[in-house]
Amino acid sequence: MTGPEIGGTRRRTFISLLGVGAAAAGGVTLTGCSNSSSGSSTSGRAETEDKLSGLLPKFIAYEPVKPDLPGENGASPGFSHYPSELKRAVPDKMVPSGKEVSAMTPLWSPMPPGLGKNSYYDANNERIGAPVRFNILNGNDYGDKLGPILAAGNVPELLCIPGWNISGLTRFGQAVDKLFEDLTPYLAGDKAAEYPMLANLPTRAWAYGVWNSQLKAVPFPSDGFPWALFYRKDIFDQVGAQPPKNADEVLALGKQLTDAKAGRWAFGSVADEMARMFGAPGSWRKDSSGKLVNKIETPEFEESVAFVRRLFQSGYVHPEVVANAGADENALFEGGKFVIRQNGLGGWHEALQRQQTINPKFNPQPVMPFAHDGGAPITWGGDPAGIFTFVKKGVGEQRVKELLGVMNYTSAPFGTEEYVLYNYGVEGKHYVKQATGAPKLTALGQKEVSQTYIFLGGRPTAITESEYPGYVQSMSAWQNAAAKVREKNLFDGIRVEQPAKMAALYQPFDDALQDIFRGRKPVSELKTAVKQWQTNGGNEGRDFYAKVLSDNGR
Amino acid sequence: MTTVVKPPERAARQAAPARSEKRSGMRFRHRLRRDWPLLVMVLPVIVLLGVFHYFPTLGNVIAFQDYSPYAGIRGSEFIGFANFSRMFSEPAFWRAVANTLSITAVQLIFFFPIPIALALLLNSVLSAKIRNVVQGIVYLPHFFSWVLVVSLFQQMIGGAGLLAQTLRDHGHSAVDLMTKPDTFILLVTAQSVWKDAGWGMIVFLAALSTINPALYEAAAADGANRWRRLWHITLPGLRPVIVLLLILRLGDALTVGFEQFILQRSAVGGGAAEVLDTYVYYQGLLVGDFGYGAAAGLFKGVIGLVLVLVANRFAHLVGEQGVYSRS
Amino acid sequence: MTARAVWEEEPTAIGRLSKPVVLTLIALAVAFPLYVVVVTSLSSTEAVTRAGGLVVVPRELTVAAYVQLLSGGVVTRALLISVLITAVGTAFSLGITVLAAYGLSRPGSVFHRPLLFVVLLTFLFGPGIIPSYLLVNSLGLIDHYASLILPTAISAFNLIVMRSFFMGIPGELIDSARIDGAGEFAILRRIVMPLSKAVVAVVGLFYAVGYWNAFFNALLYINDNNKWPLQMVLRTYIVQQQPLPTGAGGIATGTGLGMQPAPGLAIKMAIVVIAIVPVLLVYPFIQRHFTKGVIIGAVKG
Repeated sequence: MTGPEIGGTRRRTFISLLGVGAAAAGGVTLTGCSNSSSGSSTSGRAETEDKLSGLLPKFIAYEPVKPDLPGENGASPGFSHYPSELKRAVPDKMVPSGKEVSAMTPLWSPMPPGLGKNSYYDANNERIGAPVRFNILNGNDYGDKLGPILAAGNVPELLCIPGWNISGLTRFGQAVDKLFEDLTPYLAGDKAAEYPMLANLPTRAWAYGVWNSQLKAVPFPSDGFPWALFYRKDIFDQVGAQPPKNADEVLALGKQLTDAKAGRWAFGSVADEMARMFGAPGSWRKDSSGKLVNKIETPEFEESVAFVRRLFQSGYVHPEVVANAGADENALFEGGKFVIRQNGLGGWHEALQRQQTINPKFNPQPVMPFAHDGGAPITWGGDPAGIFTFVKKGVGEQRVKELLGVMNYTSAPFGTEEYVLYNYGVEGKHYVKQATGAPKLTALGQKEVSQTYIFLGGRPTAITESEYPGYVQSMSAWQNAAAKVREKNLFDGIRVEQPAKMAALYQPFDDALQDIFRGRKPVSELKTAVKQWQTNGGNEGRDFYAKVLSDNGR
Repeated sequence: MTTVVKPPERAARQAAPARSEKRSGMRFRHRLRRDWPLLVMVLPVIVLLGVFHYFPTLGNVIAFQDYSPYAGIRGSEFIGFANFSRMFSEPAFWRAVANTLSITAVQLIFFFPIPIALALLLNSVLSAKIRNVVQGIVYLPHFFSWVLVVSLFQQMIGGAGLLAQTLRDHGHSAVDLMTKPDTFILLVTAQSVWKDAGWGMIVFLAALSTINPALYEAAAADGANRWRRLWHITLPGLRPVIVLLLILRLGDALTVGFEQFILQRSAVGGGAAEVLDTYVYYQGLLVGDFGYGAAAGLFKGVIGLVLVLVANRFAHLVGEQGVYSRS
Repeated sequence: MTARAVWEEEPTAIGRLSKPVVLTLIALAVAFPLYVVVVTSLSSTEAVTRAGGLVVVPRELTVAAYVQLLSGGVVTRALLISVLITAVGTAFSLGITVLAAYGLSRPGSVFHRPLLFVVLLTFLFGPGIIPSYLLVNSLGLIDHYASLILPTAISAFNLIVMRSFFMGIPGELIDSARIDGAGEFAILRRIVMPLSKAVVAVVGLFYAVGYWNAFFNALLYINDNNKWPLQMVLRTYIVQQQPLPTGAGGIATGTGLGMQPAPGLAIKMAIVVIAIVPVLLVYPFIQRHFTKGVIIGAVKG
C-alpha cells in the first residue's frame, strides 16, 4: 500500500529514533520472539550472551587480499585498488546431489531473465553444482509477501529475511521455531571449518543469527554506521564554505548556503545527525545512578530538537523536505537544491555512480564527526548484522549441508573468484575490466547480472569502490574516525527484540517531534510528548531492557 | 437516530407500489419456477464471492483474538472484545475517526458534485471534436500515483514550487500552501478532485447517454429553456446513479485515502493528517498486530453498513431505488 | 453531431464566453502535469539532475528510459502475460457481472434482495491478506494465472452500478418480450445488452484497468518470476535507484556498474506513461457508446 519512497524514508526514521543500536535495523524492531511455551506473548525477547558461546561458529580468518587501508575499532577495511589476481576460495562443488535449490531474496534492481535464459545464473550455478531457482521480489514489496508465506509455511529452501521486515512479522520467533532448521549441529564451534567462508564471518554478526537459543540463520554482516552527514564539497568550494565543526557553524552554513531565490537551500533531512552532534545516545544509556535513559529523555536530545527547530524556522530546510515525506532527497541533493543531508553510507557510492558521467565535479563528502560545542564527538553504533538467511526445516541432514554449501559459495569475500562471479559474472562476457581494474558490465551483463546471490548468506564488510577517485581513502578515513569515537553500545552482541508495545509508541512521538520542528508546537511540548511516551509503554520498555542487561550481568 | 427514521420508514412502506406487493403475494413455488433462470445467472458471482471473499473474510474473527499467524486462528487465544475496548479507549483513534469523517463530509460537498458537473458541461459542448479531446484526457490523472500527485502539487504550490518562486522573483514573500494544517482538508480535497474527478465523470457520461433525447425536444417545444430542461429532464435522468453512488460513498465514509496522508503527514502534523487507515497502519499493521487491524476493519464495515442502510431508507423516502429496493 | 438541434435555443453570451474558458482551464490543469510527466520520462539524467526533480523545460530529450524498460528480456513476455490476463479477466468479470446484474435487476424476483445484500456486504467487509493467501495456497492456485483473476474477479461496485442501469430500462420492453415467450437469457441478449452498451463499456473499462494495473495478487501468488505480469516487472525498476534501508550497509548495488543508467525519475515517469497508453488507446472505443438516443431508437425499432 505504501509507496516505494515512503517505505524507505519511514523505515529509516522509524528505526533510527527509538531502539537499541540506533539505526541498526537488525534486531531492534523485532517483536515478540518467544522461546517458551507462552507462545502468544508479544513482549520483547533477547538472547543472553552466556548461552551464545556454545552455539556460535569458531572464527577462522580468510583473507584473500590484504587491505591497504586497515579498519580499526570495527571500521571496514579499505581496498584502494582491485586485486589483479583472484583467489579461488571454494574449490569443490558444494551440492553433490545437483538437485535444484529454491531460494527467495529481495532485489533492488530490474528483473533479470530467469533460470534457463540467463548465462550469468548458469555460470554461478555451474560452480555451485546445482541450479538455484530464485523467487525474486522487489525489496519494497518483500515484507508484504513474507507474512503470508510464513503463515502458510510455504517457504523455499533458502529464505532471506531482512531485519527491517521482521518488525511487521508478529511473533517471528514462533515462525522461526516452526519453519527453519536449527543450524547449531552443523556450524557450532569447530564444525564451521567445513564451510570456511561462513567461518570467516565475524562472531558478532553470528550472535545475531540466534533465535530461541538456537543458531538459526546465516547473518549478512553490516558496518553498523547508521548515518553520516554529507555535504556537497564541490558547491562548498564554489561559495567558499567549510564543513562545520560545531553547532554555530552549522547554523552559519544555513545562512550562507540558503538562497531561496536561486532555488537552493542548505539542508535536507538532518535531525538524527544533529541529535548525535549534541551527544544524545543512539538508543539507551545509563545515567549516574545506573538507570536506563532513552535517547529522547536526555537533555542533549532536547537541545538538538530546539536546534533543528531553528533550522526549520530560519527557512534553511528545503521546502519539499519540510512538506513531502516522499521527497526524492537523492535528486534534490544531486541537483544541488540542497547541499547538506544525512544519509546512510551506502548512498555515497550509489550517488557517485549516478553522477559520474553527468557531473564530474559532483563530490559529496562526509563531515568528520564533530560535537555541538566543538568538543569530543560521539557516533552511534548499529547492529553487526541486518539481513539473515534461513534454511527450511525438515529437508534432511544431507540437504542442509548442501544448502550451507551454497551459502559458503555466496559468502566468499572480496578478492575471490567467487565474489567476482556472483557480483559481475564472467570476465569478457558479462563484464570487462576498466583501466582502474574495476569491472564494467557489458550489454549482456547489464541484462543478466543481478544482485540475488549476495542476499544469501553474507560476507565481511569492505570498502572496495576504488573506481571513484579518492572514495575508498575518504570513506576509510571517515569510518576509522567514526569508529574511534563510537559510543559504547550497552547491548553489544545481544540481539534484543523490542516489545510490540514500544514499537507502537513511535508514531505519536514522531508526530509531536515534527510539530515542534515545524513550529506548530513550542519546544516545551517535547516534555509532554516524552511523558506520554513513558506512561504509554516507554517505562515498561525501560524495565524490559534493564532486565536484558541484568540477565547478561551488565 | 431511530426516532427520526421511524416515522418516514412507515410512510415509505405505505407508499410501496402495489406491484411489488402483488409479486410477493404470489406463491413462493410459483415464483421460484418463474425466476430460476435469474438465479442461475447470479450463481457464478455468488459462488466466486463465497469462495474467494466470504471464506477468507471469516478470518476477521482474529479481531477477537490475540492472533498469531503461526498458531493460526484455531491456535490463537480468544480475548473477547479486548482489541475493541483498547481501540475505543484511545483518544488518538477517535481523533482519526473525526478527521476521516470531516474529510468525507468536505469531499461529499466539494468533490462529489464535480464529476457530475463535468459530465454535464462536456455533454453540453456542441463540437464533437472538443468534447472528445477534453473527455479523452480529463480522466488521466486517475492513473498517477499519490507520490506523483503530491510531487506535482509541490512543484506548483509548494514552498519551492512555481508559485512561491514567482512570488520571490517579484520581491514578495513566498506562500507555502502545503504546510497549513488549517486548510489541509481543502488541499487534500483539491488533490482528490484533480486526480479523480475526470475518472468519476465516466459513469455519469454513460448515464447521460441513456436519457431519451425526444424528451428534450418535447420539452423545448413546450417552451422549457435550457435550465428547465436540465432540471426537469437531465437531473431526474441521472438521479438513480447519483443516489446510488452517494450511498456507496457513504458506505466508504471511513475510507478517505492512505498514501496521500502519509506523504503529507509531516507537513501538517499528525493532528490534521491522521485518518483511520493511517492510524490502523501505525498502531496495528506496522507493529504486526493483525488482530487490532482486523478490529478496526470490522468497525469500518459496521459503520459503513449502518450508513448505507440509513441512506438507502432515506433514498426510498424520496422515491429513489437506492442500492436495493424495498421488495 | 456538431450541429445544434433545431429545437435548441441560441447559446447565451455568457455561455458562449464562459464555457471555452472553463474548458480550457480544465484541459490545462490536466494537460500541463501530463506534459511534465511525459517530458520527464524523456529526459536525460543530466536534465533531471539539473531540475532536481520533475522536468518542465525539455532539454536533451532521450528515449533511454523507455529503451531500458522495454529492452529487458523479461518485459516482452510480461507484456504478453498482462495483455492475456487483462483480456481473459475482463471478459470473465464482465460476463458474470452482466449475468448477475441482470439476474438481480428484475423487480420482485425471488431471493433478489438477500442475494443483492450478499454482494453489497463484500463492498463493506473484506478479507485480510493472510487468510486470502492461505485460501489460494490450499486451492493449489499458487503460480497459476487463475490466481490473478479469480480472487478479485467481482467488484461489488461495478455490479451494483450495472444493475442500476439495467433497472432503468423501461419495464414494458422486457415485459412485452416475455409475453412473446422470450426466456431470460434471450431478453438479456436481445433487449438489455443492446440498450446498455454504455454501461457495459464503462464497467468493462473499469475491470480492464483494474487487471492491467494490478500487481498485488501477482506479488502474493506468483512465485515464478517468469510468470509475472508487466506491472510486477516494472515495479522492480522503480526501486532500482532507491537507497537500501539502513542495516543493509555495505551492499554494492552494482548492477549499474559502469553503465549510464537512465535516471530513476525518468524511469518512474515512463512507467506512468506505460500505464496510461493502453487506456488512451481503448478509451475512444468506450466513448463511442456515450452517444445519445440509444433507447428511443430501440423502442421505435
